[in-house]
Amino acid sequence: MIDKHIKEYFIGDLIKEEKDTLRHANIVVIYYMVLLCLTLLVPLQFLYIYTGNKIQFAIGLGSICVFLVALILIKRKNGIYAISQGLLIFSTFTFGLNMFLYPKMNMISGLLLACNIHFAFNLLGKKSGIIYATIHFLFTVLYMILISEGIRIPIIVPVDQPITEQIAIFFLLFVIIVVLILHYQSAHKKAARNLIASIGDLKVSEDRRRKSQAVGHIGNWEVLLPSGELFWDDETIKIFGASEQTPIYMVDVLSRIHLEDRENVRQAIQAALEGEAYNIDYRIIHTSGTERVVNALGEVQRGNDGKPTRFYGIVQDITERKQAEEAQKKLMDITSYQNTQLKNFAYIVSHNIRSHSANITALVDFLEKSKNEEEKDMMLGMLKSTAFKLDDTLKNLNDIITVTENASKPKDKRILKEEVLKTLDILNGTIYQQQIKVDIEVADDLEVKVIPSYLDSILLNLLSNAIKYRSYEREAQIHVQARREKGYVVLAVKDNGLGFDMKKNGRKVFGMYKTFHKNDDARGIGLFITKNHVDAMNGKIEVTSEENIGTTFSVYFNEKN
Amino acid sequence: MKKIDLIYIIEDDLIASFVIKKVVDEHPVVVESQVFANGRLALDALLTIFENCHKTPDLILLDINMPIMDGWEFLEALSSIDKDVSIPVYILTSSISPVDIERAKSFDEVKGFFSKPISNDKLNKILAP
Repeated sequence: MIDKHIKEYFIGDLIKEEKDTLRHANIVVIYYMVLLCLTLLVPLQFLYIYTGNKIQFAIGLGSICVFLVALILIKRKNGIYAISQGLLIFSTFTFGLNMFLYPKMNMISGLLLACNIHFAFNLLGKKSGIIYATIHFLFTVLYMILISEGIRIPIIVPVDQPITEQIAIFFLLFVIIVVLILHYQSAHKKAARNLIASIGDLKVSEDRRRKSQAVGHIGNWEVLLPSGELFWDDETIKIFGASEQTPIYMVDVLSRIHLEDRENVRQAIQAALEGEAYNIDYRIIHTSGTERVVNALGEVQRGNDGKPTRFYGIVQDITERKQAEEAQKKLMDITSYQNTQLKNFAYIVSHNIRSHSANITALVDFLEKSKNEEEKDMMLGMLKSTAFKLDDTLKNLNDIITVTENASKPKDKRILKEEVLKTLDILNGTIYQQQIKVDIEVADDLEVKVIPSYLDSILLNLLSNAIKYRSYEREAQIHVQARREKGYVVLAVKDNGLGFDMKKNGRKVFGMYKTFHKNDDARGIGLFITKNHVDAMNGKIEVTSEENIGTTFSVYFNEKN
Repeated sequence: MKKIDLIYIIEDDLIASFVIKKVVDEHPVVVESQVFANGRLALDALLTIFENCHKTPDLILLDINMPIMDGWEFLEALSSIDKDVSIPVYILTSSISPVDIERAKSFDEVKGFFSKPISNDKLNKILAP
C-alpha cells in the first residue's frame, strides 16, 4: 500500500520536472509571440514610410526596444541555450526586416539564414534543425520564384499591398508556427523521456531498497495525521504477518502488540507526538501465533502551524538479536552467580580451616606455657582431635571441589529403581537393626539420565539422612516414590522423622555446615554436596518439612540434558 | 580496668570454647565465665535471668556458625527481648567474610567483630575498649 504512496511522493518530483520543461516551452512561445509582434510591426512600419518619417522612426525605435527587452528577458534564463534562443529570434527578426527593406534577397539575408539554421540546430536538435532549415530554404526559393513571376497572394494581406509584404508575413507566420510546433514536441518528448528514465531509476532504487530491507527485516510504516490513515510496506506486513489484502488501521496494530507492551507503545507514540524521539522495543503476536520482538524508530513531521502531519519510520524484527542478548545475559548471570559462589566458597574454606588452625595456635601456646604434665597431656589430646577435624574438613572441601570439577562428566541412563535398591542394600544393616519400614513406589523401567556417581551419592545421602534423623517416638517409615513431571523425573524421599522448622531453616537446609539437630555425626555438608550434585546435572532439589512429623526431599532429574 | 563479673561464651566447638574460656578465665579482671554450646542454651539462660531479675552478664562472646541456633538468630532473639539493660556482644568467629562483618554492624548490641583465635591482646581490646 505504501508502494503506491511512495510512487506518488517521488513521481510528484518528476511531474514537477516535466512541468518545468513545459513551462520553459511556454516561455519560448512567449518569445516567439514577441517576435511575431515585431515582425508584424515591420510591414506596418513599411506602410508608414508613406505617411511620414517621424512616426516611421518612432515605431522602428519602439520595435527595437521591444526586441531588446525580449533579449534581456531571455538572457535571464540559463546559459547558452537562452543566448542561442535570443540570437535565433534576433536573426529571424533581422531576416524579416531585411526582406522588407531589401525586397530582393541579398548577402546579409543569406548569412542570417545560415545563422538561423545554425541556432535552430542548437536549440531544437538535429532533426528539427534540418526540418527548420529545409522549410526556410523552400520558402526562400518560393519567395524568389514568386517575386520573379510577379505573382501576388491575396489571402493574407489586402490585394493592393505589395507582394513582398504578403509573402513575408505568410512566410514568417508559417516559420514561426512550424518552429513552435517542433519546439513543443521536442519539449514534451524530452520531458517524457526524463520521466521514463526517472521511473526506471526509481524502480531500480525501489527494488534495491526493498531487497535490503528484506535482508535486514526492516519495514516502513507511515501514519497520516490527523486522519490516522496507515501505510505499511511489504516488509512491515511480513513482520506482523498481516494479510496484504486486508486494509490495516491503527486499531489493528495495537491489537497485534503484546498485551503487556500495549500501554508502553501508546505512551511512546504520545511522547513522539509531543516532540520526543520514538525508539521502542515491543513484542508483537505474529499471525502465526508466535511472539516476536520488534524495534520501531519513528519521526514526526509537522506542518507550518507545528501540528503533526505525518508520523513515519521503520520497524525491524529483532527477535533473534533479542534472544541472543537474553542468552548472553543468562550466561552472564550464571557466570556472576558462579563467581559469587566461588567467592563464598573461598570464605567458607577460609572459615573452616581457620576454626581449626585457631584452635591449634591457641593449644600450642598453652602447651608451651603449661608446666603441669597432666595438663600437657590434655592439650595434646585436644591437638590430636583438632588435627583429625582439620583433616576431615579438608576431605569435605575436596568432595565439594570434585563436584565442581566433574560437572562436565558424561551422563548415562540408569534404571532408578535398581539404584534405589542398591543404596538400600548398603544401608541394610541399620534398616534391619532399627526395624525401619521402607516402601518403594518407583516404576520398574523408569530411567534417569544422570552422572552415575552423583546419583549414588544423592541417593545415599537422602536415604541415610532419612534414617539418621528418624524419630524415636514412633516406628520409622521411609517412602520412596518417583514420577514424571514436565521434562523431569521427580524422586521423592519422604520420612516420618524429626523434621525441622521450614520457616526458620528452610533456606539454610542446603547450606554448608548447617545442622539443626544434636546428632554427633551431623557434618552439615551432606545436603550441601547433594544440592551441588543436583545442580551440576541441571536438576533441582526441593524440601518440605514439619517439625516432628517428617521431611520430604524431591529431586528433579532433568530428562533433556 | 573495671572488674568483669560474668562473661558468656557462646561457642559450639568444644576445643574452641575450652581455649576461649581458658584465656578469659586467666585474665585478671574477669571473675567468672560461662560456656553455652549454642545460641538457644544461652538465650534460655538469659531469659531465666530476666525473669528472675538476676544480674545479667557483663558481656557476651558470640560465635556465628552453630547448630540449633546460630549467632545471628541469637542476636535477633536478643534484640527482640524487651529489657532494661543492654549487654554488649562481641563476635568471635572464624569468618572473615565482609558480608558477615557488615551484618554484624546492623545489630546495636554488637560492639566488635574479632576473628579466632582469641588472644590476650584481643581480650584486652574487648575488656577495655
